[in-house]
Amino acid sequence: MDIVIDSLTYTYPGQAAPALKDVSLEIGAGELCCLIGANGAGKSTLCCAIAGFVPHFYKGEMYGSVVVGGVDTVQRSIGDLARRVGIVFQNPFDQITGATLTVFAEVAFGLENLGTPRDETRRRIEDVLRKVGLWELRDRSPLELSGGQQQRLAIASVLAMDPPIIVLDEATSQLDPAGTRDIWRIIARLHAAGKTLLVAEHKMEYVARHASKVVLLQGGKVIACGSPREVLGRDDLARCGVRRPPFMEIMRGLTQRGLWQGPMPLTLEDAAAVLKEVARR
Amino acid sequence: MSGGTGTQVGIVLDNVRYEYPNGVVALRGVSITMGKGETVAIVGENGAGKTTLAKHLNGLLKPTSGSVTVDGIDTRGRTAASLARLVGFVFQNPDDQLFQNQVSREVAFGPRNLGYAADRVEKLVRWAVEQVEITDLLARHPYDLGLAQRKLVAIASVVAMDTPYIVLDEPTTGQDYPGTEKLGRLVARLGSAGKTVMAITHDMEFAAEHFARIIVMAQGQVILDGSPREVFSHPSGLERASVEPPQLARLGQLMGLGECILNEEDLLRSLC
Amino acid sequence: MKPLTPYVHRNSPIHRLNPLTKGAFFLCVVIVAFTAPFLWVVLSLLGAVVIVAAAAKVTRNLIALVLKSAFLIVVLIFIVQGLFYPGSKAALWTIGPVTVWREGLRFASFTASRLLAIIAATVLFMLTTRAEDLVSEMMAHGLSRKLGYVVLMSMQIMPQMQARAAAILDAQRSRGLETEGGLMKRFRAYVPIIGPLVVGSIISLETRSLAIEARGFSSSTRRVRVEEIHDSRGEQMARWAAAAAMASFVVWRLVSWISSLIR
Repeated sequence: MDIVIDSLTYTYPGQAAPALKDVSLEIGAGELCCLIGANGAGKSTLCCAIAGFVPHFYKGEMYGSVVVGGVDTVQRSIGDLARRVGIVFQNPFDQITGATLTVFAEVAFGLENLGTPRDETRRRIEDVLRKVGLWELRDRSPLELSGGQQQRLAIASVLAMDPPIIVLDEATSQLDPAGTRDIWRIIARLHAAGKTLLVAEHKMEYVARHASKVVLLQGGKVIACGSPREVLGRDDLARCGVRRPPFMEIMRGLTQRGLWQGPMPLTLEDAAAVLKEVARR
Repeated sequence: MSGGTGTQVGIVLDNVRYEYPNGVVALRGVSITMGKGETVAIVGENGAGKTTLAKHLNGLLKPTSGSVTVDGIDTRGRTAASLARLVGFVFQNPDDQLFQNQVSREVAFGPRNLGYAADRVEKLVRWAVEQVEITDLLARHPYDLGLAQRKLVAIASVVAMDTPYIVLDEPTTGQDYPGTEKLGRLVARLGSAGKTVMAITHDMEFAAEHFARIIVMAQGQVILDGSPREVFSHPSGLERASVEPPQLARLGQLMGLGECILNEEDLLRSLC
Repeated sequence: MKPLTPYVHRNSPIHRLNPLTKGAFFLCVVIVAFTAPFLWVVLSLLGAVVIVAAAAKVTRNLIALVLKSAFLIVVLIFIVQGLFYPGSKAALWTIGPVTVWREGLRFASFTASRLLAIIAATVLFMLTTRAEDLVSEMMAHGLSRKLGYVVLMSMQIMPQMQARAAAILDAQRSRGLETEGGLMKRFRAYVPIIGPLVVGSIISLETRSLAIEARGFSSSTRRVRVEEIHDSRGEQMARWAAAAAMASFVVWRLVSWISSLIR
């Protein structure tokens, strides 16, 4: 198991109610695990706990344990954990260091801090910039990029440090559809390459299509954890502040009326195929 | 249409062209009329000119050529602050406008600027937070809230100005499902109260479900303008604007159905 | 977005010099120009700066920037000193009530040349050296990583802040805030504009500090910058020589100043 969370309860300093309540979770290596739930359900806090910002940066009160790649996060510094877990945040602009003049130098920042040899750094920068499709823009100023490009740059900067686990905390929420599509294309590619991914996301169409595991949170608690079919098929989904993709809603209607008994399709293409089949009958 | 006599109700853009000082032409002859109580979603990819267009509605930008009139008043020669009485404008980033230490004060800032009496301000604040469904946040500090909630506060702070026209720039960004639903109800309430609501959005489900009219922009021009059903029946135009139709419309296309699918009934009807 | 420094990229031997070497010579020019007792020294420094600028292919930028920043003050120096130099005896011309003094003009041309030399050297240094490279080199030679980061970030973020301030101004004007008009109106507009700017920057900073921490900022490993900055034994020696020359020049000026006082 790559990430093992055991009865984690965490309260931010100055807050009365805990942000996470008795959360236990196991995420295997190479899994693409999506965190879903309304704002305030605890998705971001959970992301921060895996990267070690909870409790190292935010302080506060923490019970239980988070073990990442065999290492207890409480016992390691954030910098040390950075080699195991990379994290990408919601707001693209805020993640730019602001101290570099080019996209290339921005990606170099982390590797330079770790004292990586120059040839190795150059090789890795080219590799990750090509992966996120920014190699052509390497001499541009990071501040001149669009939001979607900045977010891809943030992913590249994290990838360059080559952590086995990558956490994306609502990384697409500020982006337009094209930007979102680009990020998910990268996520899918990383998943195929064997990275362990934890992705907090509101856009359910992508969750249904790509996740290998879905965790539904509400009020700091894990409500459900399982395959996308199981979790997105739950009756209480809307009550937990999550909208089922409209095509799945239609498929559920067909199932309830006894018109379709097979497995719930997870992509629009599959749904179209099923519906055509049903219509023919 | 352009021969307004000064008593015309509505926002009228007549052949508006706008060129930024750096030479970029953002609007190339846009003509739109928006009447009272209309709910209009403006969609299109980044760089299509949506925000530039919106900034013309309250006089933040003035057309290089052509004209913009609000209730017959030409925006040229008016400051944005003076047009604020007619057109409310919520920016994309709430952090560009929040500065008070309490939500109630933040929401009161706009109506106070308009010079309304204290009791009217108080009433407007209460009314606005009810419209946006954030009454429970009144006593909170805006910056103790998450980004999505700060955005709702920013929207309430403009709704409280009680303007006949309201422009929302990307209201659903970062919102979860309950937040998006709140915004949908807000649009409906404002519309039925006779206010004109215009929203720039990338969220096609939101546009299709909550707005009566959709304007599709591409390269500084309006390329489609009509009801959701009309607009989403033009796949080629949408493609030109790089706009992806809502999920069910795409499902219909994948199934090879001729007509535009926006909800379950549409689908069942075209299947049977 | 406009960068804060006027750096112009050229493929020239001057651009390729180590930033510290350029910095050392820049300081040399400033100190000598400031304290040299003879006009010819200052003028030859000015000449040297122009020759180096030519080698760096930035002569035109240099002249434009120096004129832009120094023209007015040079004119002022000539007017003030030429007309009102204390203790002037030799009148050059008299036009009506205005008399131009020889001593005044001489003093003015000396002061103006000093000023021009200093400004030209500063501009040349900035035209040929990226701030990022200079700070990086200083970090490699002992400047703390935190201080270096703060310097670089503030230079980059400044133009960004201006852009945000413009957005905030628009947002508040849309809420009926009058920003044009009398002093009182403008004063009242201050808080609604500075408020979001400051708070927004604090929010950005929190995420930013998380993001840079996650990229090994606090790592105790020695930083290895990917872009190698050229340095050589020759340049190091030149820097030491420049430092020695500066020191001896300062000592010489101090000694002659003190001895003139004693006499």
